[in-house]
Amino acid sequence: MDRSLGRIIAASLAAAGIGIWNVGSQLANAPVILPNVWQLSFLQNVDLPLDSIAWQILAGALFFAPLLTTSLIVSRLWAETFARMRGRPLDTGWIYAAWLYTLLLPASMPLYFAALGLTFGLIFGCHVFGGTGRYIVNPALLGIVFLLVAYPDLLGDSHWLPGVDAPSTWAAVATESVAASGPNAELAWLPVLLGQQVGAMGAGSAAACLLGALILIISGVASIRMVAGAVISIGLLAGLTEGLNGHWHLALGNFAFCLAFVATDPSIRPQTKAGNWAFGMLFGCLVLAIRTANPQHPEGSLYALLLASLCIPLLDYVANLALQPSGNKTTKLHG
Amino acid sequence: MATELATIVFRSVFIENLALNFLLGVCTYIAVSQRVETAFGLGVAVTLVQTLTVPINNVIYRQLLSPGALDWLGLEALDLTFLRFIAFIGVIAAFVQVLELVLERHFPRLEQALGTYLPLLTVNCAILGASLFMVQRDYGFTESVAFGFGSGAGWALAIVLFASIRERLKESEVPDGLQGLGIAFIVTGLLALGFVGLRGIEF
Repeated sequence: MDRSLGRIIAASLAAAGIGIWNVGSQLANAPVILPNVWQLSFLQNVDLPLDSIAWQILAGALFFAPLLTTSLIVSRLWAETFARMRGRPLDTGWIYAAWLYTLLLPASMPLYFAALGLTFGLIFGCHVFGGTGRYIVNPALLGIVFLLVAYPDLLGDSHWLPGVDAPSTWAAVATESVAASGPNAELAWLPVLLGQQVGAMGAGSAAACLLGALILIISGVASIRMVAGAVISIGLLAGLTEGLNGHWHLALGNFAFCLAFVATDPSIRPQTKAGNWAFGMLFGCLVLAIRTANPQHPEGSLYALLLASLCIPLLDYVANLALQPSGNKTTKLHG
Repeated sequence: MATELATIVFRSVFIENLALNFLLGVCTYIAVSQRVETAFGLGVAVTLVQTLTVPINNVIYRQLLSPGALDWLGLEALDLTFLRFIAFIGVIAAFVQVLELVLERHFPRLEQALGTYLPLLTVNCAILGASLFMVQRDYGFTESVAFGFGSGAGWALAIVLFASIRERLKESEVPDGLQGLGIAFIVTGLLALGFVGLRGIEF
């Protein structure tokens, strides 16, 4: 369990790095920068050109580091509290939860809201179930969804960059081109896939996330059935419905990040092969359904994954039932 | 018309779920969700009862109880809406009796597993609630068929999902103070949160 979590963090390092650089480069290219946060006033005194990679990475890191530190402290505090109260060893998943949670935040998230969301996710998603390995939904995901529901403005379609009124790439592409046949010319697919996406910090580069998924599949943490199920179902459904094509769905929003690092959480993974297929496909279908049919929650990956995770025990149950010889089905009711 | 009906079914299953959104029928929902198999059986039973009783109650309400329904008898200005609770419960009770007989004859194990909760479906607030929502929202006959089926199926979906999670929870270590009811309500809350993403989908 611990090794799997460590591998997931390692596999997400590339996505995090590109994401941090991406935040900086978005800031450098933003039309107006309002120096209303301390990072930006600090950066104005830094003697580096705006378009240098060093400035951009420094700028991204200045936003990423405080959020990560806050998340780590909050996560550690709750792990310590519950370990002490219950007389158990420290929960091993505290770094994993804080790391994923930070990567799913926008760079503009205030620290106290970040702490609040993670607190909710950790208590109600992780520690009341007995900690890592025993929970049913990923605590980082639950914390983000809590913030989405309770404070929709913080994770809405604008304000993804601190001090800049920037819509997320998802919103820019979706609002302009879902009705039309293809996305507009300004946003090319490849740069968005590689890492020029405005959005959650870790989801900047879908390519890095998919690479992470590949690494996790090879190292045996992620199930290839789950990943393939999600990608195939979203591709097929996107082909059947109007709007964005499958390759855009793959590149945009949190889908690739959630697929690679959150859905592969070893604590929630389905126990059966068929369950893995079904979980992946359900996740893909829900993402596409929410994205295309739901104007209220245009980027539905987080909700889709939460709902799909909650369905895992049922999917496993049905898979087990189908595998059983028919004679055993009826005898179960005696118990 | 077809899209309207589809919207009613979709809304009542996923968005305005009787168990998760209105917390109706929670007593049965908590009590009979120890095992997926019984939960599924009860879910099917509730769906059946809802699909039949909501339209029948709709006819009774429109033709007998609503203000001005008995004009043709010369009883103008007669308003029998105050009788709707007793009329609806009567219909529901009759159907639950029939259901019990059918289950006893053909699915004795399920009937045994449900035990006292089967006759108690008569006073299940989800079932009465669906009929009352039907009146409140002014549904016509076909709409009530769709709503009855959808609300029953939504309740069934909720209890089956909940039961499967509960079976999985046997592996988890819930703190002493939260065991049983406490964790049940937390899981119900998580389920409700899971369906929030579908809110806003329309056909």
